[in-house]
Amino acid sequence: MTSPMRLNPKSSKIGRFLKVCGSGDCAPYGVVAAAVAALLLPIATVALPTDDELLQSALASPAIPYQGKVMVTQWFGKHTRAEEMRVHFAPPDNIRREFLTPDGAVARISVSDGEHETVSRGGKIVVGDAVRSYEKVMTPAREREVLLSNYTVIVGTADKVAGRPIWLLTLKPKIEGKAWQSMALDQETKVVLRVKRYLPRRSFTSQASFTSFEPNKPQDEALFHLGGATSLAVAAPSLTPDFMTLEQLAKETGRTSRLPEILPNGFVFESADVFKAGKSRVTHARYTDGLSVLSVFETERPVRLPRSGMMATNADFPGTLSTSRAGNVFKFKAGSRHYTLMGDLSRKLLADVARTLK
Amino acid sequence: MTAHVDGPELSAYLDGALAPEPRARIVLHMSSCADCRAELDSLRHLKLALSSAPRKRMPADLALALERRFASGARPWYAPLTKPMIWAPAGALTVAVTAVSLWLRFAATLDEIPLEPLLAAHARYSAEALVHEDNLVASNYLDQLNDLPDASESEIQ
Repeated sequence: MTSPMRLNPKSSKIGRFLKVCGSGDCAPYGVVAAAVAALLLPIATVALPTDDELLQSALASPAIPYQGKVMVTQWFGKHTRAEEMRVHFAPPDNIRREFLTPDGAVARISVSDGEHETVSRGGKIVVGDAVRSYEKVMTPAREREVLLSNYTVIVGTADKVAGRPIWLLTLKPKIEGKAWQSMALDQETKVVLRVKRYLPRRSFTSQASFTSFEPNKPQDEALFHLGGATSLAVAAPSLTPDFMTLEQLAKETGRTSRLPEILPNGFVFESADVFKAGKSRVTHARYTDGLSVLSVFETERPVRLPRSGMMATNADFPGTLSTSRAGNVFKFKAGSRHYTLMGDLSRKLLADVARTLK
Repeated sequence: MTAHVDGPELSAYLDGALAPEPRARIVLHMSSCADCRAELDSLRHLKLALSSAPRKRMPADLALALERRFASGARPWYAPLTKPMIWAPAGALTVAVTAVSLWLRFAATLDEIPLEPLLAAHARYSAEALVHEDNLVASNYLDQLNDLPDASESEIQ
């Protein structure tokens, strides 16, 4: 498990020992010194990187091609969902994921070049814009600053993942009610081999972990193209984001919004967009604390929540809460507007946000 | 000799309830028929015995008590419920209220916005977050595959 420690290869006792034996008249000691140095060398090479270095590596795209198998497991209440996939990656952003059935057959394929994502399953294909193919309103530097103000970064070592030594980077929230996230990075390549997110005292955990990993494996270009995609592909226009500032949002909607720049518990406005759901217009404001994201939807009509997983509310929690695998969904009315909050946050934190918007 | 006098006619004779003509016929017959005279004597003795027996008087307020009982509604509390006339409008009202309630609920559902597009937007935003989302299974476009027509497997590499 995690064992945060820092090794200092420049031990003063060892230094004095080497100085004495460096005079040349203590040959037997030289042999011993060489043996000690040989023993210390592997320890020195596994010295822990700094928090900043490891976080930088975790957030950056891998710089090497690789392939491997990943097991994704989700625990939600009494339910568990697991899925295995084959992964092929080639820098800078080419990735192919083959999701496997329990008998090893390919159930669906997803390929992305960083600009577009193509997904196929059972002869059906959808092409859309890839994740992170847009420039967000908030700069990565600012988002990182927000992350570090809300989370404590802990670096340590842990058991191997896929048989490879790793560094463990844990993001621990500074207040209760937010998810923890730990990432295991390959010591040699700095590729993230395991990601785990969980909320303490809540029965929800999600983990993606490599079960086999082959770094520096050249990948065939053809892997990142789906044959037949051109003729069958159906565009996915509804997910095209349109990032706006609060000022741009007010201009777009023609009215002043009660959405603030800052919400309680460290959430900062990141961007907003407006989209249609049926005949209704939905304003989507996105807030982040650097790790957890919180969506605030503003609508003129109420949103229909599934009855399963719905929880009772009280005076301290003035609204309707529904739990799901995607996190908590909380809706309430303020003035003539309806609000729906989504995020992997505790009830208390959601209630704090609701009280601010009311 | 004429025919014997039967029982009811004899009883009417004894009570003095006969018209003169049948009464004269019976008197004439009695004068020559010992059996009918004996029967008449027996009937007369029976009547005397009954009239001399002690009489039980009804309470003086019996009628009043009966009247009070029916007029004051001293019937059980559920007595009105046993009348079918009550149930017809009550049943109709219940059906009407249920129908209106269901309609209002359905109308409210029509007015609500489905959650799915909001979930998709949130998932999309989660994927754009600074730190990678942990759920690698989810895909932004996977749900839309269900709405597409089938194609042959061979067309997919």
